This record gives sequence, structure tokens and C-alpha cells, in this order.
Amino acid sequence: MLLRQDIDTIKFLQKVKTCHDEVIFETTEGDRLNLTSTLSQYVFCSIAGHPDCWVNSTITCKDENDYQLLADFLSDEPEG
Amino acid sequence: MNIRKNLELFQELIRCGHELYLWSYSPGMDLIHTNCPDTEQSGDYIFMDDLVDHILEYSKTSRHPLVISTFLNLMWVAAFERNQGRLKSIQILGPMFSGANSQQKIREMLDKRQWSVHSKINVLKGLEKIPIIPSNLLWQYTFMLHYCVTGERITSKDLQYMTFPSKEEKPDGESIDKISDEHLGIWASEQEFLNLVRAGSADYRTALDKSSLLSSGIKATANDSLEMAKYNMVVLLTLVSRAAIEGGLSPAVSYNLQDYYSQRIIDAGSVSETSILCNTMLEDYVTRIQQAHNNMDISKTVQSCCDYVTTHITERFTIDFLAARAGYTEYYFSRKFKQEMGMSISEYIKQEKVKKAALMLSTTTMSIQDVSNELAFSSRSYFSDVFQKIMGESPGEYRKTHLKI
Repeated sequence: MLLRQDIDTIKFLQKVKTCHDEVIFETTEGDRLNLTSTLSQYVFCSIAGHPDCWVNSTITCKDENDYQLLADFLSDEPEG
Repeated sequence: MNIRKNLELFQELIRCGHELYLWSYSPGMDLIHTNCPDTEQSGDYIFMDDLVDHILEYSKTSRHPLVISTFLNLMWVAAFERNQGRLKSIQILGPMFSGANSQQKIREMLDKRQWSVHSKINVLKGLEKIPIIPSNLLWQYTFMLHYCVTGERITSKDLQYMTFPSKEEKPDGESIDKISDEHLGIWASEQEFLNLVRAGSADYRTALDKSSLLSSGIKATANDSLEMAKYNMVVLLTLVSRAAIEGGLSPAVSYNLQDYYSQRIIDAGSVSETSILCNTMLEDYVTRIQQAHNNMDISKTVQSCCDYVTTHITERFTIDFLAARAGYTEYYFSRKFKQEMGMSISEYIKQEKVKKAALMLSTTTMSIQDVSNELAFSSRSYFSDVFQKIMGESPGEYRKTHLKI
């Protein structure tokens, strides 16, 4: 699933914390961030202000049920 | 006291020197206001979210500021505003590093994960914005923040520390930046501190705070700030253990304590932990020195007289006054003092004044006349005579060979 570009990153990370298993954020440049890790969350925040870094980036939930939790932040279709 | 105005001024004053931000939280830790222009990218939220429960728990039992070390040795300071005993707001200053950002360490962490150059650059750019605040300056900002919200003056012994490692790894340290090449006044304040340790005086904390304002420790670059904090602690431990022996603690006990605390320093995992350990170590040594003094064959009366002389060394004493203070006649107290101390009261007073004079001569540029006046000698020539008899050389000669500014 694709991560929408117009999200509130703080609310998104708060939601990630409620997920049951790993949530992997992957950019088109190949960066993979396990968003359950503090360092990865910090990196995510650092690049959040640069939409060009994460346009069409994807979210992969290890637990299928977690997609439902993150539904407001995800999209099936590419943006822009 | 207008707390809001205090905080506004405090924020502006801090910003004159550092890009350090104030975050105002409600009693439920909801962010009310911050002067940080980039709240999302600052990442502050990540750490605050994990710290909420701990900060709130702490606020129930303590009114003093909390110094918090987290992942990457990022630090925050929390101060608590209360209204009639009820928590009204939590003011948090940060984030900051306690020493120079060891970007090499962070680069290594990023390299291990093989992220793109683009992402790494963005992270490092963000980290570069975080100010480096030496520990002595951090204390001062903490005292000021606490004063802004409470009107209460505190010292370093009132601070509490908390360390929060991240989920995946303990925080790394970073090197401490040189803040100054000046060492002016440090020798004098160190000696003052060590003299108080030798005496087993509880005032050592005040002297240590004063010394800390002049210097944040060894002026060298280590791999990270934790390593630097450990080096500084080892130096302090060595000085204190020798001062303890001079103060009457048995060498066996002092060296055993040194071994024990050396191991604990090696094992310390964060800068905050070394600070807590430092307080424990000093308190342990000084308490034992006090006990050693109590065990000596010197009565409390005579000990009290000696303590009084030490803490009022710039005054002029009469034996009559000291005896009356102890509740004895002059004749009886003079004999008692000589029996226990091995010298007369006036010899003891001269000895202590000359010790202080030697310190002033070797650590300041005060004229010999001024030193004599400061220590209440009746004249410079009398002072010089007394000094020469006790030290074996004149004040001028002593200064030539011992000046350490």
C-alpha cells in the first residue's frame, strides 16, 4: 500500500504504535524503515518535510490486520 | 510572579545563544505551545510520547526539575509549574546534546542500515540543528527554568536524572565540545572543594557547584560524551579519595571505595547515570570522613571550635570569645584545646590563616597587603612574620614558587 503525502506524520506514527507487528516504510530509493524502531521513526520525521523523498513510498504491514488501523493514511493509487 | 512573562523572556534569552526550544505541556502532557518552528521534523514527539508516563509519575512525588537522557544521548529538562500544590503545566527545554555531536557515531549507525545518501543527509541536517550544551550550562538553564515557574532557587543537588534507552539499542554518546581554553580560577575553586571534603563538610556541594561553573571538565576530545564523563569522574574520584585520606579516612577504606566506584564508572551506561553516581560517591566519602572525625580523640567542643575558625577564617578571634562560645572559661578551654590538638588555640588560628593565605597567594593576584587585610592580621609585617615562621619562607617567596593561575 502507498503512503499518502498529505498525512499528519505525528498522528501516523501514533497509529503505527498501536499496530500489532512490524510496519515497514519503503521509499522509491530503496530505503527501508522499520517504523517500530526509534531510530527509524526519527529518520522518518527527518524526511517527512521532504515529500520528494517519499512520494509513492510504500507501507507494508507484517500483520494484515494492521492495514485496517492505518487505512486513513494509505492509498491504493499513486499520487501526483 | 508572572510566570508566562518569565517564560517568554527566558525563551528569548536562551535563543540569543542557542537554538533551544521550550515546550509547554498541560498536566496531561498535551502540547499547548512551543517556540520550535518545526515541530514535526524535530522528532520531539517520538521521545515525549515514550516519556509521558514516566514524567507524570515523577511529577506526583517531586517538584524539582528532571534531566532526561534518551536515545542518541539527546537530553531534555522538565520543570513543573504548580498552583496551590496542583500541577498546572510542564515546561520542557530541549532537545539538546550534552557534548559535541559525534556525527561519526551517528553516521556509523546510519551506515549499518545502508540507507540512501539522501535520507542520511536529511537526518544529519536535522541533527546539526540540535544545540550542544555543556553540562555546566545545562545546569544553569535548568536552575533558571525552575526559577521562572516556581520562584525558587535550587542547586545541582536538587536535580533528578532519568535515562531512557530506545527499544532497539542503548543510547550512544558523543564527544564533549571544548567550551573554553581558559582555566582561570579553577585551581582555587578545586582546592576549596577538596579542603571541604577533607574537613568532612556538607558544604562541599556548594564548592563543587562553583567549580563546575568555571569548567565542564578535562579539555580534551574523546570519542563520545559518555567516555568523557567517565574520564572526568575518574579524575574527581582520584582527587576525592586522596583528600579523604588527608581528612582522616583510613587509606585501606579510601582505596577500597575507589576500586568500587571505579568499576561502577566503567559500567555506567549513560551520562545521566554518571551524574547520579557522582552524587552517590561524594556523599559516601564525605559521610565516612565525618565518621572518621567523630572517632578521633577530639571532643565535639574542640572540633566545633576548629570548624568555627575554618568557616570564619577572615575574622579576628579572641580566645575569650572562642572559650565563651564553647561554654568554658578561657583558662580551662585553652588547656583542653592544647591537650587534644597538641597546640594552643592561637597557634591553631595562625596555622589556619596561613594555610588560607598560602592558597590566596598561589591562586590569586591579590597583593600581600590585601591578603593580610583579608585575613584580619593587624599589619603586613606581622602577617609576613607569622607566614615565614610557619611556611619557612616569606609570602613573596612563596608566591614566586607556588603561583598557579
